[in-house]
Amino acid sequence: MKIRVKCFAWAKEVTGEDEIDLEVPEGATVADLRDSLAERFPVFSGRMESIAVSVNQEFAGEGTPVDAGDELALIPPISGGCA
Amino acid sequence: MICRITDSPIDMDELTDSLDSPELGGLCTFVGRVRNHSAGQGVTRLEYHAYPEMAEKKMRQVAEEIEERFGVTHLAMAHRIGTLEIGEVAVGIAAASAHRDAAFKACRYAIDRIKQIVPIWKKEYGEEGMAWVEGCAVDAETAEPQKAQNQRV
Repeated sequence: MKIRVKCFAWAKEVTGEDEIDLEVPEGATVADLRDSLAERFPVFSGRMESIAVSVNQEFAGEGTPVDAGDELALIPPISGGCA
Repeated sequence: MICRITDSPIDMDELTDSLDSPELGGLCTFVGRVRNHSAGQGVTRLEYHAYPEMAEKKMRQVAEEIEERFGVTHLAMAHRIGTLEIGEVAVGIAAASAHRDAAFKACRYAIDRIKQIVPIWKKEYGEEGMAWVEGCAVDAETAEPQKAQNQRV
């Protein structure tokens, strides 16, 4: 199935897109999303650990299911506020 | 309660006025402004980006945590996005309670926590070109920050 993933900050810059479409198997999880992402954009492979994935606006672990209807996003390390 | 991502200038008076109530004797504010240097380099301006819907949701989570920890329910938080010049207000926080101790603690917790779990990003422009400031990677399994990095990419 095809899923749509929002890209922010560094992730938006390296993909060149606000949103990307990825192909994942039925019953896929966040881990499958990452595999598909790394295949399509190898630049993510080296720093996947620092990129969080959110599902429906909550940070999501590797086993979290993802569905075509979910709101998915790539969350690079954040830097809000002001030191 | 204000939890807001905005592309307009932050009005601290609006934040504090929203906490105007006769039982609130302690009011504490934090104003985060754009600084002209970072990691030993000059900074000329900053760009803030956000995932606005999730950012406001996570700010509300910060407010819930503050209520649980300090019993403070009167909070106003606003974070600006877009291009900001040196000296402009990037983030404003106001916390009020009956007495000062809880207000100080709530205000401090709010800014520290925003930097950990609220999806906002900062891009610095300066003498060395531009870089994303990567402060805090979130461990998705625990939804908590990994060790702070503060690297530039």
